[in-house]
Amino acid sequence: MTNAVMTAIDDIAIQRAKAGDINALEGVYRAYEGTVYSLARRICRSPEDAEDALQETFLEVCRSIGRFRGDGPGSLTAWMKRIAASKALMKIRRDKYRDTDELFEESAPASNPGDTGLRMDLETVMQRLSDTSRAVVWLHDVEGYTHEDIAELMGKSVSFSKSQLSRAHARLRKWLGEEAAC
Amino acid sequence: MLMHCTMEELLAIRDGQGSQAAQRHLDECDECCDELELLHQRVAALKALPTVRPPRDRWSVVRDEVLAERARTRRRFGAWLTAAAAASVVLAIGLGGVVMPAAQGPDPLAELVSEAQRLEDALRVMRPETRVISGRTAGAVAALEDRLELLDVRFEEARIRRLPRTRLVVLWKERIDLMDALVNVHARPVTLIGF
Repeated sequence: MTNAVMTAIDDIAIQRAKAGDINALEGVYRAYEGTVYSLARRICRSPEDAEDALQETFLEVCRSIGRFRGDGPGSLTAWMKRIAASKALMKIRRDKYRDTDELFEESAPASNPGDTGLRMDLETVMQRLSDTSRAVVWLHDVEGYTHEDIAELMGKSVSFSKSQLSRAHARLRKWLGEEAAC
Repeated sequence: MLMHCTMEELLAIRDGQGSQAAQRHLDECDECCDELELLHQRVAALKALPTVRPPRDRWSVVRDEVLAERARTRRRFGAWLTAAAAASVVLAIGLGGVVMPAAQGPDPLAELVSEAQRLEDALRVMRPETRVISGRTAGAVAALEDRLELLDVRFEEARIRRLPRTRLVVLWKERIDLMDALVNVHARPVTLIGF
């Protein structure tokens, strides 16, 4: 799905966008909005925050794409995801959810109507993690960022990133085990 | 017998960084092998989560902001050209000896234009359009830019009416004060709240 969408953007469109062509920039937005929003949605706690991160990411993209020196859609994706990750992390910093991390982690799982099957269980338990832990799991295990990358993005140490990941997996394992036993 | 692998050890093994002792234990322990397999399954399930589409279209907001920023940049550049044109007329006349002050030494108007140019360059290097700023700072920037726009109208008037050098000096001093304030606002460090 994502790859199919990305092929819609070719090198010529990227060059036009880099030159500031507003229609080409819209083309970039249309091609990548799902990718960027998905990443932001997995990191941010609320859809509203993810939407704000999406908007801020594309504002940054429109301002900076002229300086983007990558080669082709693949590197454009990586560049854009890095901006999106940074914006989403800034969002969770600003919203100061950190203060309620433990509350979220120890509370009962949110019961959303229609949350059935492993996929929804996984999404539900991911939401129970603290914002920081969830972001580390997503960036490391799904997006393929190294602990060094994450430490840099978060302004923390590598060992912080590692311990967040291990703590998060221990909790996911426990909660998913409980879900399976029910 | 070694205790079961911790989650940290399992993650290290998965990433090819496990200790020899943990790896040896894993080779002999079915329970830890199962845990590692669960870890792989969990990550595979996370990777399989579908792409989520944003509930609302944000492009129009992004486009409007981008176009507004471009207009602001054009206005500022255009204003600089207007002000510079007004000064250049007077400086050219001055160099011809028509309005040049009697006192020798550096020309105050030329110095003011030069100082304004330095501030314009400083602002350009900062690339304010690419910076993340707080709502309060954005308000201060907008107020300063509004005052610069009003000043530019007066520069245009000065150019058309060929106002005397003394009036231009006042206008340039005002422009420098505003530009200086704008540079200072953008030079403030962004404060981030830590995790």
